[in-house]
Amino acid sequence: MWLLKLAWKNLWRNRSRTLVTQSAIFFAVLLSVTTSSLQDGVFDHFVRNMVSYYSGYIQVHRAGYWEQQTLDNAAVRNKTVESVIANHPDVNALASRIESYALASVDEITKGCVVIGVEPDAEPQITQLNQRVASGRYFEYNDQRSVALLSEGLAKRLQLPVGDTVILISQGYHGAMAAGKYRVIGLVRFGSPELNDQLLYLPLPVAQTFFSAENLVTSYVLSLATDKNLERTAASIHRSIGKKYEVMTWKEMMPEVDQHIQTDKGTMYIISGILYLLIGFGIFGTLLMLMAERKYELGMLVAIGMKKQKLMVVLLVESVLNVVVGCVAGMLASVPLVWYLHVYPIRFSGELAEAYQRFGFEPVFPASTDGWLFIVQGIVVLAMGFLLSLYPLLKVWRLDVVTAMRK
Amino acid sequence: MNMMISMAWRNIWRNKVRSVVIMISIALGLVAGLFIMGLYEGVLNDRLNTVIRQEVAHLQVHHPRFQRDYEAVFCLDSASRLVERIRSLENVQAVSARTVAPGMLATSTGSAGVQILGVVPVDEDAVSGLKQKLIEGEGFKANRHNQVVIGRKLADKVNLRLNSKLVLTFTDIENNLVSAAFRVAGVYQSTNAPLEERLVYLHAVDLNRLMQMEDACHEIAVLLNRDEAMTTAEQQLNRLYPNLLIENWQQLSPETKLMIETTDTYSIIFIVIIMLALMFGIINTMLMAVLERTREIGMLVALGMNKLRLFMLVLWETVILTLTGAPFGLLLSWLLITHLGNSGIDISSISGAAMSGFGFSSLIFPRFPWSSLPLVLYIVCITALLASLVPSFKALRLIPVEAMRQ
Repeated sequence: MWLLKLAWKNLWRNRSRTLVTQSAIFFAVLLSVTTSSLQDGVFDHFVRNMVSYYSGYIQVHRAGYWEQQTLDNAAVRNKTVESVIANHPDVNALASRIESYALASVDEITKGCVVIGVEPDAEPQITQLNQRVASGRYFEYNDQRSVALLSEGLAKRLQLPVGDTVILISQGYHGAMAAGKYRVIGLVRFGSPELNDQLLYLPLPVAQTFFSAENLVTSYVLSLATDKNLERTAASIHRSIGKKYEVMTWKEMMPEVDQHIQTDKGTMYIISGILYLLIGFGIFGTLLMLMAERKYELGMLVAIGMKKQKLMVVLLVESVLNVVVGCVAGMLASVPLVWYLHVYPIRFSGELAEAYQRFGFEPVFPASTDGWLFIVQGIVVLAMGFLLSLYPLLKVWRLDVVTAMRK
Repeated sequence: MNMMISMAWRNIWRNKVRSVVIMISIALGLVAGLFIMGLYEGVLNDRLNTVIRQEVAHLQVHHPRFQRDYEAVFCLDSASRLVERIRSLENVQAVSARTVAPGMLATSTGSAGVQILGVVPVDEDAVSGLKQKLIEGEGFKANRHNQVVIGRKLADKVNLRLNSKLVLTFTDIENNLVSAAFRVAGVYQSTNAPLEERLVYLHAVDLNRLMQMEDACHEIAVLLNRDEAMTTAEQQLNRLYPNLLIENWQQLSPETKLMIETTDTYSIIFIVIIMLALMFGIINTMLMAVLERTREIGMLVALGMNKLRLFMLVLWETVILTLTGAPFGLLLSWLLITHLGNSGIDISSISGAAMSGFGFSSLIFPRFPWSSLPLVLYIVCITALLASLVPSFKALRLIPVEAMRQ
């Protein structure tokens, strides 16, 4: 007990020393929490941007559709399945689509395009399609009219202004002939030329009639609250709706994006490693100087008969107190900092910001406020602090009284 | 002044452990900063290489209206002369003339919208490495007609195999629909799934004959032997052919540009954080060093050393420590980056991702960031200077009587 008391008194005896040691730990926690929350936030933001572009977090198709994307593999709409998916706790929104190719033609010009039948009210919850309208207007609620939204690039290639009519020709369900004419009510803008030159949107029932595919959909598109439970959610949805359907995550649909993210994550891990190295070295440097400063004092204690083991216990208690106090303070201080970076994310400007806006993304690097992050980083630094606290113990163990007290 | 420096120098070597620790932190900070820069440079370089050497090449030449309308009429006439002229330009490594036709691919089981490229196989191999991308079949063989090379993703989607037959439909130069049957001579795999699903390659001779085009093409892809030569080559082409549209990869692949600039921007954020970590490390170590020397500093003040000189003494110590630590850091980072740049870092073992299935490499080859070296050096020196200010002020606030009472 008196050992504890001694340790406590030692901490208060030289306040600036204690403060410096604790601040080393404090800043270590602060920095590592900020780093990892920024890393997490950047990926979350990037993924959200990518999936809200077109694919959604998860898609559900009739089994086999992804391998062979033809209308003949479309699924019959099923209210029970839809409500099972929509009621899954992690699912934010659900939209049905029917998708196929067609030739779009105006006067002499004919172009290939991707026709997508969407639910006018559900689609914006996933892809913000209504906000992409660059001229004209978006579909009406429950639209049944023969109207179309064209991507800007496609409209330009067809030399088609808003208000004109486009003729679509294609092959419908089970080889039926599909043809129809549609009034263009608006143009939508996509940053990626690939989508911008190809997409043509129709209201879902209108597209189903066009393809002679009444009550059929090619895909259910899902949006989630967070990317964290992606695989688990996909698996649990698959279990509840059965083998007749395939449930695909964006990672399976866009492996090249996942690949880029994995590479970036790899580099992030390396960066975290380097950060820990620097932090660890900072803490070590502080402890090293601490022991140099206290050499005389410790030597004297041993000289007047204090057992080295007991002295080591005192130092250990001091270190533990220092590390714990620094850690807790760091975790507490990082909460408002991270929260601030979450609400007022780092905004960038210039060419990159313009490029982001062209793609319809917000030019920010937000921080993630995941609670686990604070705990994990706190524990990592705590462990590092304890490990490094072994250094003073070692130093005492090897302490030579005579040299220590020689000034 | 001289005395200050020599005193600072002696102080540094009086307590070797402390000085070595600070030098190591500075060296470590430099290594960390340079290593991260090098890492990002490696990643970006890899992406750039993929985009330039496997997809779009450095520059592309089109008829100004072609990319907007994709009409066969907007072609480049007397293509062979044009290609020869471009090939003879400085820094040009390879040139491939392509005839481009959007069209439909049909088999007995399905159909798909495709982009048909008519190419001269040897040239295309040199520009986008088509031959290296083949995973089935041997590609175009001489003296055979109507061969086609398709992507693995497209092959899976419409159930095609090597030697299967398929029908391509497209419009010719007079806007007539043309259909012709082709046999699959090869299946390629690339790192870009959407392109793999859309691009199919024909021999230029076949496509030009069907489209009624003689010595013409729609697109000329130009690969240079150095990335840095791009601006010059672009200007030169613009001067030579003011009536043609010359675009570089940044305009052709805005997504890549976006990705690269994003990485560039956030790498700066993490470098700032790393430098902060370095700064706190140095500040704390120096603070402890000042605390340790309380008595000694107190004595100096008691003996009549003025405050400015004391301040300068601690400052000089830090500066000397920085200047000694930095060269070590530079040498160490150069060795480390060069070594890892040769052997590569396998990030699949770190991030636990299995990527080989898509034909991706999971190795990162860091490159020594020569271009950002001055910046990193500058940041590290400023950091060390700032870090030294805190302990210097701390030394000033010591009261001699208290400091000497021990």
